[in-house]
Amino acid sequence: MEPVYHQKRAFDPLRTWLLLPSWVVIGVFLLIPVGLMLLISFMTKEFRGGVIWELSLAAYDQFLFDRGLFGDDPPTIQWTYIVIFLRSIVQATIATIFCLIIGFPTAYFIATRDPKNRTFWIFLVTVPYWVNLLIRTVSLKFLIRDNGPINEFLLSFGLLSEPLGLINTNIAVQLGLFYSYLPFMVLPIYASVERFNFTYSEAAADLYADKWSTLRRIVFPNVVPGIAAGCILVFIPSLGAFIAPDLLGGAKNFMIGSLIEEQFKGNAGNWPFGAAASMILLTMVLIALLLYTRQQAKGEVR
Amino acid sequence: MVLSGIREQLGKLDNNQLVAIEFQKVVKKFGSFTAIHNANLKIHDNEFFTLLGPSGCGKTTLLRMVAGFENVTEGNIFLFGKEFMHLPPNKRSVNTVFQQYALFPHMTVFENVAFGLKMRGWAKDDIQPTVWKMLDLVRLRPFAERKPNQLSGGQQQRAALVRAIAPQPKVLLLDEPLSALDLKLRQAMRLELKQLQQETGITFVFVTHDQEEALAMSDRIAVMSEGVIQQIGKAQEIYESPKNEIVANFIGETNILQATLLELNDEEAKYQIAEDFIITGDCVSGLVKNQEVKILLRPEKIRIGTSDNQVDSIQGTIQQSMYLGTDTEYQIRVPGEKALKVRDQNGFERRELLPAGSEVSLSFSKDSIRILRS
Repeated sequence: MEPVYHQKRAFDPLRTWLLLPSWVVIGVFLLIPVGLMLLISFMTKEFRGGVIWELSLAAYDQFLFDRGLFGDDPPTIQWTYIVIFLRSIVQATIATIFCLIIGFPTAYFIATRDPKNRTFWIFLVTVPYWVNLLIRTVSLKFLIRDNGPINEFLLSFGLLSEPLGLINTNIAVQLGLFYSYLPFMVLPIYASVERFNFTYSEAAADLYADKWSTLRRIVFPNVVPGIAAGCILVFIPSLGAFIAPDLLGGAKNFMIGSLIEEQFKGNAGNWPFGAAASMILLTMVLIALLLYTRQQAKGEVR
Repeated sequence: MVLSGIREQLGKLDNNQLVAIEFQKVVKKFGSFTAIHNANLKIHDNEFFTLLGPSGCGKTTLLRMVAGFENVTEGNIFLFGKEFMHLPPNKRSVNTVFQQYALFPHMTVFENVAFGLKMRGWAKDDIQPTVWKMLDLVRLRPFAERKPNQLSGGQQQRAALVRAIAPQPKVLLLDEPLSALDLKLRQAMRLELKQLQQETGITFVFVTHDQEEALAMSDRIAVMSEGVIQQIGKAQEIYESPKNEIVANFIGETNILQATLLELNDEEAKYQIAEDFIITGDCVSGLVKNQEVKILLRPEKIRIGTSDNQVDSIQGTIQQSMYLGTDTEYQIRVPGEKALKVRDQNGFERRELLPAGSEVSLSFSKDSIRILRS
């Protein structure tokens, strides 16, 4: 007769110990910081940075409502921060679209090369990213400023009568974000195109589909997971980015990342307010991801 | 049918049969490797034609050139007498059933079958009934809304089949479509394929390495090996009178004996295999006395036991026996050769298994042996 096993898995000390490092990392680097942030967002600010440990909704209140200079006017909606938020979303969306437009063909190109050469192409994509992001962004600033090489070049050949005036515009921020996060789009798409079975393309061509229809109806739907991953990986850091908007956008093109960064810089900041803005950002990203995964799950079932 | 219009206009064969695909001196090279050596082949309209050969013999390459996935290095291929090598795959009215089916994983069975029609620009009202008709043809109507991965292997196979047939191609190319199925299903599908071919009247070009499959379904077979078409003919021709050793070895099992032509007259010849092992066979024209030849003997055409006056017989010793159900395979030691393979059918008469070491007499009829020039 077969031995009867107990339904419940016996306590396995080794299993617990092996999982411990992962739990420690998640705890120390994820749960505790986010918990701390949540806590601080509900505290009272101290004027030279830091917090007073007294419960308060002031930070959220400041984000959403305007109560006048002395805080005793009837509350009206505070548009300043909401506009910054919306601008961040728009900027991140456009950056994502740009990355997709350039990243998809790049990834497709690499994935359809001879397998021997693919590593080399991937290597080329990642080369610029061996240099620190800050330095790359500063270099970009140098390149596009009014008396930088691009403008000088175009002016000296008479192609322009005055500088493009790129610096300190939304377009400059776009460019910065696009440049910063392009590989995050290329790599996941590359991975899914590489996994794509090109016999499907042959089958489509065999069934009278031209190249464009094959791409749109057969290749595209099958690499959507890679595209979605790429979009998430570009959109989320773009939303919270502060280096590109700071260096390339100037004060007018403030984004949420810069707003948060400023609250924790030196002793002019407002910790609870920064924490509250972070929490609002986090909540929005989570909602977006949740909607996305639910959409995905629906697609699976269908 | 679809083809009725074209039938009239195009060049016909001598026996009034239309040629669907013609390969003319086709050569295919991949770099320095020659995959196809000078292939010449006419596939008739409405024919179930099989390209048979071991893997890597170039049969799939021939198919892919017709489909448009490979170009020809030299020579030309014609579809109903017309040149079409310059057309991309999507402009060729041939369809392919792929080895691993290649059903679009994100589409339902219905959408898969409708795809070709949609791409051909059919109106939606025409697509619907055609797809249903196709699904009924292979009993897949209840599965129309399933995704390919929710189907069994046999169902996927049938879906791939009607997807390729739905746009009514002039020629259907089948690239080892049964190789992924298990034995029982494969045997059932053979019948179904043959029926489908007869019902639709579409020319089938079937690629396989399975000789049984080829023999069972094909009107004609081309045996290929190492990029060369070795023999073209009906199943029976290929099996009964293989042109050379390669074909003989590939189709079925065969004993190949080295022999010398001993004497010959107008009707028959005597071939000596060993000192006391002489076989009488047909006289192949052009042979002279003392010429070295090869004799092909199918294992099932050798009889164990009784010999009458019509046939030659020799003595042998059973070395090994293998009981295979429908028949028993013996390795029998004969003079001069190491061992002959002999198949003894366990048929109408009940037979005792002959133990190793038994002395038996073996007989061969003149018609059952085939002589090849060495």
